[in-house]
Amino acid sequence: MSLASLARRHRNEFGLLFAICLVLGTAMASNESWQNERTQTLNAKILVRSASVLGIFALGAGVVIISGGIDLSAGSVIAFSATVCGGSLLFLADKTPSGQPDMIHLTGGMVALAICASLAVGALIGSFHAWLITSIRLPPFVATLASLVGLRSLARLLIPDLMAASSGGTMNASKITVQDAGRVLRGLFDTWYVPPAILLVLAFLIWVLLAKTVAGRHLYAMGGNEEAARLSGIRTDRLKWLAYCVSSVTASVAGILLLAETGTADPSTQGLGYELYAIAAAVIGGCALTGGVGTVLGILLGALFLRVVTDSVAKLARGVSPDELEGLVVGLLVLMAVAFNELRAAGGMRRPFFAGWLGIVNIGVLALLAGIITSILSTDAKLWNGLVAAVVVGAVLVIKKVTEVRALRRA
Amino acid sequence: MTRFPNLALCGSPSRAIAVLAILFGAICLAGCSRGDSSRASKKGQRIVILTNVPDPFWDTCEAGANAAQRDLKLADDGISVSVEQNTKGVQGQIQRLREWAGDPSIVAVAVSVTEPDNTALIDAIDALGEQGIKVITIDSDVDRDNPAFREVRYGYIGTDNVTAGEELGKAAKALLPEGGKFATFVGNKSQANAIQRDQGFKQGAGDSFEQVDFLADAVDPSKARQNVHDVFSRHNDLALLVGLWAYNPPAIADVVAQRGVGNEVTVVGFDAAPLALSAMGEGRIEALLVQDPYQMGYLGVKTLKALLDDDRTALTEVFPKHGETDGDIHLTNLKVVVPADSPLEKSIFLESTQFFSLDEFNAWLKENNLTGS
Repeated sequence: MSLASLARRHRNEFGLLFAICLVLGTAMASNESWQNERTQTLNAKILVRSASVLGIFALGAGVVIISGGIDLSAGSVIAFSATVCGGSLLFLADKTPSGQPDMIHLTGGMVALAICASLAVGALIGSFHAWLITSIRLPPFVATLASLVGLRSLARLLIPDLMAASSGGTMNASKITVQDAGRVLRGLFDTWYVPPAILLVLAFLIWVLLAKTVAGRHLYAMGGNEEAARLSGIRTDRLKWLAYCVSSVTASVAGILLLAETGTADPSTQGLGYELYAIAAAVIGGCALTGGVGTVLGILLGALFLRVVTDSVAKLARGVSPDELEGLVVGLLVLMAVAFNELRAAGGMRRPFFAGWLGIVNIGVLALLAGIITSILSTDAKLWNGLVAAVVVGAVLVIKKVTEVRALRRA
Repeated sequence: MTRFPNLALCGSPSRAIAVLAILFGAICLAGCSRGDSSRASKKGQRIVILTNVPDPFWDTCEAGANAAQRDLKLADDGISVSVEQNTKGVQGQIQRLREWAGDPSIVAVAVSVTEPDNTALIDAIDALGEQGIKVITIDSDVDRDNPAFREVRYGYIGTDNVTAGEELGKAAKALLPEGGKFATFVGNKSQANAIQRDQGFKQGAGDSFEQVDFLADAVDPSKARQNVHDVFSRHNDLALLVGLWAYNPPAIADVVAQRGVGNEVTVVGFDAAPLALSAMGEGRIEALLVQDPYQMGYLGVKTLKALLDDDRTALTEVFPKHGETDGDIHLTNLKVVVPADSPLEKSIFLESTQFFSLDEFNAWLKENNLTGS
């Protein structure tokens, strides 16, 4: 395969790679912590590690999207599997003289069993989703929406009973704390290369599944046109089971890693809203929500890009709190990535963007948005800067509108 | 074509609805039987404590509330006590309170107010009073500068968060006499206790300290850790890190250890989460300012029961000067916990603040069957 055809086939991936280098380069050039010898390696490790955790469950979300479905439950499955892992440790841990589980001294065997329990529960959740979708015929959106709200609640209800049962009724708490002085479980996150290693193994396995097996080709076919796939003899029910299991198990892996990171299983807040980050990473990575399109490499780069951008925002934001700015940046990124994917399709750029009254209203909306964002990000002369940005963006869009109208008349 | 669930499985839509209704009923019955067995209430009257956010802090509060329930023999009067964790911010609190106004089993409510000057929330609390439900605030009060807001509850039992912040600020000043740059971490910056603790901390620490960042993490412990990493990337001359909510100090301590900067920065914070106590034992946290949620729960239930019985003697024990200026406030104790080799001394804190070494505090927790506070 020539370089040109490779570039054409993987235009999205190359585009993302370029964008990652651009954002990272800007951050490295302007942030001191990227230039300091002591902190730059640390920064890189932290960035790779957090991108890996996101990448792990984004892979699962991506497989479901490729198969033509959607999984909204990732955040709750993360919280639930952390609870299962922590809850299993409560029962597996030795007892202190007062009869309570000794969560300070854990062994490798205990942690391995708890992880297995958590992964098994992940697979069961995926199977349950597949059953709801294939046998009860619930739309995937509804089936996984129910888990999104239900699983978190179930985990919260479980914890007090797990605490009481494992301690003979002497403990009562709303979250499970895993002190783990020997860092047996917590070392899984502390050791910076473990999450990336897990991601690479999972990515390889999913790549083999999608690109090298018949089941993988059938997943793409089902995502592209489920009815046609079914009529051509593909057993779509089994494929859906596979896709939703991959999604739930990858979310479980992320849940175990987050438990290792924080030392607490706290279902009321853990992984809250993470499903949207997973879907965003998959979509930025080139997965089409209509199904049948997407690659493992694209999803990995999508997750890395999302993390690089939020990390750079946190490092570079001045005059505004990065935690407040992050949501806006991610929202804009998702819009731009999907719009870019849509527009690069044949004839996309030639389409009129601002036709009719809806176009006129949205010229105003975009100009206003540009003005507000510029104003927020300015450290001084906020009103003036915002006004200038709004006028410039408005003027450019009006010119675009005029060109469109003229082209339409000529046609 | 829009696809709906396959109702044909149940024969007809009406039969499907009937099956769903039976299932729902069964779940409700299971829930009720579970509640009844633990609460053992005869008349089914309920005293409820509504939290501001979910946090283990409230487990300790619940332990205090349960102790009061036992001591006051509430089960004999058919009254149960429960703690309801609010996970949905101010909107979640308003919704719960509105539901309770129409629930005859609810007889008294203690609420930790998420937004002290939110009129919709104040109206929802007021609506409880109109239904004869007794109301107090604990841990986080309504805006006391507004007399109309103050009237919607009988009184407030909790920490004076400004004073608590000041006490922690004094500890920071004593640990770092020359001051320096500091960053503050919290779950939600708009919540009353976050604002008040931050304000108090700055007052206590003095002008030699400069706050360079104040970051919120939406109560996500992973995000809390990311925020600490981000602060280190933005500033290379930090002297002090302050965690305002229970999970923040252990998150800070974890990151400080990972980055190997334990010798360069000092960590102080609020509350005593189990992981924060372990981190202090390992020399990664220098001071913790601990509230007394156990006392809040105990006195909260005691006050609400006294209000239900119109027991003036019991009420005077908690609010001896009720009716006078600020007589509707009962401030609970503050505790400062420090490591064994700390340079901090009791004399720099208020007379009323209890001073504990880590070992002494762990012994106190064990005595009260708690893992954190």
